[in-house]
Amino acid sequence: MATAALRRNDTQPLTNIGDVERVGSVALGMVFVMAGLRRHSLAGRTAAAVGSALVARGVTGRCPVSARLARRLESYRRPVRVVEAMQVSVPPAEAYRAWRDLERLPRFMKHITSVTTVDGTSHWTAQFSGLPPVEWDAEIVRDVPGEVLSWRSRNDDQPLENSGSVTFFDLGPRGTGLRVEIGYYPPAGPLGQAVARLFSPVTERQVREDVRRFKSLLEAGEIPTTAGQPSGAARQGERGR
Amino acid sequence: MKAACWFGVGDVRVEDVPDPVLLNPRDAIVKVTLSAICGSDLHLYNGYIPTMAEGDILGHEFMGEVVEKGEGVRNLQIGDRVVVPFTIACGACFFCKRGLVSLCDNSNPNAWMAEKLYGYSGSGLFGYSHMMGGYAGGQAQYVRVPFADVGPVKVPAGLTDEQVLFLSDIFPTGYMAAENCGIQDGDVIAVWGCGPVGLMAIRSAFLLGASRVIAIDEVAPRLEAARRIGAETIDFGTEEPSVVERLHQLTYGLGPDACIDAVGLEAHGHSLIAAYDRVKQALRLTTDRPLALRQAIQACRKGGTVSVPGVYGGFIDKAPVGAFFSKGLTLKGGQTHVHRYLAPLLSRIERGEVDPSFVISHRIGIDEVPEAYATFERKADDAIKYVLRP
Repeated sequence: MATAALRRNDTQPLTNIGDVERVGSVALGMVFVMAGLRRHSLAGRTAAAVGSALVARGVTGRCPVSARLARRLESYRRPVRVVEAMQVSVPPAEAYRAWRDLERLPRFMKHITSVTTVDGTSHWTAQFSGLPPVEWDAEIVRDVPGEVLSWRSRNDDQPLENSGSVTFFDLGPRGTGLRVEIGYYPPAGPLGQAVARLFSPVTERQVREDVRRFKSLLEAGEIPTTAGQPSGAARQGERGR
Repeated sequence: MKAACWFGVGDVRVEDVPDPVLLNPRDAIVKVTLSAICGSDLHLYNGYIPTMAEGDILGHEFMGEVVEKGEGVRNLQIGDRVVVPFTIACGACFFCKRGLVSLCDNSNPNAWMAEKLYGYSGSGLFGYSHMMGGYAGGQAQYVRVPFADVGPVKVPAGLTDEQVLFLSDIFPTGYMAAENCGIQDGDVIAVWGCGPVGLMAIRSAFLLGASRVIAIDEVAPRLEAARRIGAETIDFGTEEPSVVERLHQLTYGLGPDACIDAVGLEAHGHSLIAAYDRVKQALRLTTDRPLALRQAIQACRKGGTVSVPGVYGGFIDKAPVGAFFSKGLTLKGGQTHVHRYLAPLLSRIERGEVDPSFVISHRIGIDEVPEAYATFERKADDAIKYVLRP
């Protein structure tokens, strides 16, 4: 799926615009150059410059703008991929067991509301703010206790096609080096994908926060919070003792 | 309950807010018997620490009585009298296990904010901005204390609140600042700032074997307080020549073995470079005014140590990094690893080696807190340290 985007300079064709467009480009460019040169102003010189670029584009058959645009469109087909790495002060076996306990993942995965498992497959429900809940089925692809766990959603027609893996590196007395990789194909065509790409830094933060909560649960036994503490700004609720 | 809340620059109000409740198994609720205003609270008051929000409850130096506890807190009993460290630490992560509790990985729910600014986040702190966890603070009648099974230290009945309160911050902070100097018998230590932390650092430097401590400030009652505990003083407001030159003379050209910057990001001065810092800070071109730090680096003897308990929040300008390198200096700083100093410093107080209450200048109730901030900020009324009974 991502291979189309991997073609770069080495395989780039010499021309990237058609013959009809090339002739049109030269003609339009000539008009701009002639009109521009007749005026001795900044606008005139700009028009002449744009015109000569259009002529060059037509003569050579190469357009840098089109090329960039094409690469952009190709990139929309790539999955959003997020990698997070974190040290956790428990042995790999313990970290693995905690992550393998799929039904309890919602404890630290903020947007996952439930996971249920039925012989080898799991059913996931997620809730992202302002959106209706998303559900999908997933299966475990690789499962090496204490080392690696990877999964993917089961069919391509799932609303949230995704895959991921967690690798547990043994750091000796430092515990576990956790590497989490998550990839997903955002829903609803190119536009949805463009939007998803725009928000991928947000996704990265969400994954990091999930992994951080996992770490806190394992190390401290709880997830730090201030939700529900008093503030001078929150005037509602219980008063006085 | 009543609590002192931040509402903006120069705007602290006492509000009636809901009582805190247990939110996690390792929480306890402490009924505050004595609390304090810290010099570093003035950085919040003056708006130099980002990510404060309207209504945030201030205060990170407090002690009191345990009135409620979660199921994970087994070492404390209801009714125990405790001092609470201002740094919040889980006791189990990589950093806590090494005693670096102010760098705890698991106590800041807003670690991502600090990571944006610093790359990594330190521990959560009470009442010290959302970037540092956003925890409601101790200038209040009740406080929720997270990880209460590893933080609070029980206080022996024979000691008064005023004697032990400063175990929460300034005594360990001054002590760690002195300890970071690696003092050897006979060393001369220079301390910038004779506020409460500076005074504690002076006291601690003597405890750790310094032969002389030279204290630098311009506020008369503070210089007087420093002299009372044995320091020589430099008044940079009136004395000539420059601080660096005075230190050179006072140490016979060697320079102080270690320099402590107990001032931090709001240094005052009268030189051209001080005016330059003020203008840049006012224009938000730089966040911190590092006058004391620059002088410390400049004045320190070759191979010496510059220790920084003063709070810095962002970026500094004109840092004499060439001097730092050429003289082979060691630079140490950071929030205090309070937990590891509680037991040894409590014993020093019990043995009568030190009574930290000497820094207290004002005793107030919670309703007087807003006025106290204003006075403290102006360093008026000979203000050094406010304690409050909420």
